[in-house]
Amino acid sequence: MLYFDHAASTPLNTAGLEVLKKSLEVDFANPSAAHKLGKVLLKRIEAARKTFLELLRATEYDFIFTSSATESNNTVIKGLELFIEDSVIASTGDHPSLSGPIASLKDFSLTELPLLVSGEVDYSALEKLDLSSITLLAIAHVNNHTGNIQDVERISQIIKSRSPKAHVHVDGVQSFGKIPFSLKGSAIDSYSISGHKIGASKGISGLYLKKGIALSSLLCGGGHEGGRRSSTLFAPLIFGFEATALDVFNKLEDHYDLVEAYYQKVKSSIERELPSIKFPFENVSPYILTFVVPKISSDIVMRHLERDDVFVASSSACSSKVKGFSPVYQALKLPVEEHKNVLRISFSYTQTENELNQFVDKFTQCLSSLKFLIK
Amino acid sequence: MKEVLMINVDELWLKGKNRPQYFRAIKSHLKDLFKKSHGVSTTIINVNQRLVATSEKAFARDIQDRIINVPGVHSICLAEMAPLDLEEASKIAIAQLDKMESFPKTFKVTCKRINKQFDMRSMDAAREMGAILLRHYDGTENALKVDVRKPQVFVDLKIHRDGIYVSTEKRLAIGGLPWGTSGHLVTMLSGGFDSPIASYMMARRGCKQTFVFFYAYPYVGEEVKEKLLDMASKLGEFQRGSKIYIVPFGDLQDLIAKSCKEEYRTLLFRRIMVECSTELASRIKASALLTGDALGQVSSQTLENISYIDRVSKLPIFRPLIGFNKIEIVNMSKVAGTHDISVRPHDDACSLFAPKHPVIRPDLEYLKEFESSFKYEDAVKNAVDRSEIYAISSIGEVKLVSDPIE
Repeated sequence: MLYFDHAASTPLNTAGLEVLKKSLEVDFANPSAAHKLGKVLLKRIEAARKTFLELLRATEYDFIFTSSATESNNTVIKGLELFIEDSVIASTGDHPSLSGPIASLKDFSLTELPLLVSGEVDYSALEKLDLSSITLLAIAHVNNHTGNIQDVERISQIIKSRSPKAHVHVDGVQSFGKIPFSLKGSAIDSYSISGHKIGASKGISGLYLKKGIALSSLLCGGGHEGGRRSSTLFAPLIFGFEATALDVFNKLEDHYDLVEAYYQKVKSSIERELPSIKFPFENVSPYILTFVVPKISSDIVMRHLERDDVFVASSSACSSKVKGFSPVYQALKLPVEEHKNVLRISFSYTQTENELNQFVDKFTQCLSSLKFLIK
Repeated sequence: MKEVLMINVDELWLKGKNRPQYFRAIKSHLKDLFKKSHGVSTTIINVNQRLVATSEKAFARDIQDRIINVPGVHSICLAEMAPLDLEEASKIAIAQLDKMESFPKTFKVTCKRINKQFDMRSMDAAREMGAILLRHYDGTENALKVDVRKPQVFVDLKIHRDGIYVSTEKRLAIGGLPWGTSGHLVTMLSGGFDSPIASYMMARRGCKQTFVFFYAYPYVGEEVKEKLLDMASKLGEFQRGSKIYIVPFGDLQDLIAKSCKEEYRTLLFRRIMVECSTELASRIKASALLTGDALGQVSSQTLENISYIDRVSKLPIFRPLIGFNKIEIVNMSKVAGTHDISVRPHDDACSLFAPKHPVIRPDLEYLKEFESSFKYEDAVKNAVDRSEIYAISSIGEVKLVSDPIE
């Protein structure tokens, strides 16, 4: 199997899996219990919390364990309890776990974050906007469709200089454990991360939240997580996530260099073999390589590859598959006739050189066998 | 009290000596439905050329909805039985009228006296019942009037030996002939409007059908298959048990596309689909194919292309929609209940492969030449062998069955 969809989810990290397995067996007690078993677990969970804070040097932040990054994003966007006069700036080109909760807010005004055709934020257009009433900026650090790395500090500072009351929320799902980054001295107010994108289990994620920021809670109950998220703490998932994060951060720079070499290799091979393919996005994470296969629906490519046991992501998330129009790609400035033709391959440090070579061979074979569809 | 559903049959009066066989067919279809969705035991008896179903439980709207989709049923009336006394019968009629969502302004009483022992003739009983009802509602806010020409409600009395059946609501059914009394067809389904309506029409003509869909994976995705299974489930409601064969067609399509002149692709896809359907028909002993072709609707449905397909087909191909306009077909799909499935967007491999200028008047010499060089027999058998087969029950439940041959 050649798995090239690591941005969607990735196999479990070996070190993290060991910790998780063992913990599932032995750490059955309730961390909120008053007896010794509970108290020991709670202490270890607090230590894990501290680990996460240290990984991003987030001394001015709290860290909340959540079940998914979608929950983390919802916790902030809905928890801020915006009022009618509030206004939000965000990009439709970002993940639906940002645009979804924003759309669920009542009677607010939404400003579209201006983007360039390269997928980067258009700073000159941003500077020209009236930002004085902005109360929330929500943006992904690395866009999941395009891989664009946004300069979140620069954007945060622009927004805050115009509207000091604004809350800056960043979705760090595709950057955490992959892109060198810290929250030390940051203007960011909250930052979401996900476990399963770095090889922890699904069902465990987190939220960095600047100290002193009040949020209303989505889940009320026993007052866990400082009253911000009631739910019994799932100790084994937390410990597995911690071990995974430690392992990944330990080799973050090495992984980055390795994956960057993979990215360059695959990109240049595709450019050489299939010159018609376009790479519209610039300044991107090496973990994500997104391109347009002109005139061939990427679903068809994806299914031909899956028959060969090769897995990539197609633009099948289009809201209207047949017409092929996608508001996300529209916001990312892709021409509508290309919305159906976007393919994303995403890498992991666990892949080998040999896998990459096989992938390039199979991919180019697949596309040349489909050339007859181009009219 | 016993609940009674009167089931009037359609066209059976045409069938002299075959009549008992047709009654048996329609009864076994009804029994199957009652068993699957009524829940309590139901008896069906023949009473003077109509069927009367009785059970302890009321015949709910959803079971009625199923019965009116049974081929051969003309109409149904939900009836209640009164003792042989018009005053008693009128109480039931009044209760039924009072239950109506919008109370009628006009009515007419119809009556049929099968029990000649009853001491009033049909006309007199109807008049008497009319008078009772007029008296009952006189001076109330629900004052009724008789209208013999266009009444809003018929109050229908059927005087039998064991009592008077009273009904105030009659629902028209799809009519035609009972399932399975007109032979077995292989129905070639696509995701569009036409083929489901072709199936619907031939279901009403009493045809048992096995559906076939040509699934062009990996050119199209799973959602197309899901759509077709939903459609088969809907069409299965007009059948007393059916199957759909999902024939893997992507590789075959790929092979044809790469072996023939581009403008002949669509026509030759059809040709091979007909071959596959014929192969299936021979395996399941069906005697004809059914398609949703309408003359001239798309390039493969020109007279020349249709006649080419007919010339090479070993089985007759039924095309009940050949003379229909698109809008008529779309309107029928609303009646048949297939419309909302047909409108769901889906990828279509044929349009994907469609040449810029498909052939309208095929060169028969070229086709002969192609057929002699293109060996498709094994590929056709192989595709049918590899079909995924789903069984569809009379209430539209779809279940994967492993058995590759019916």
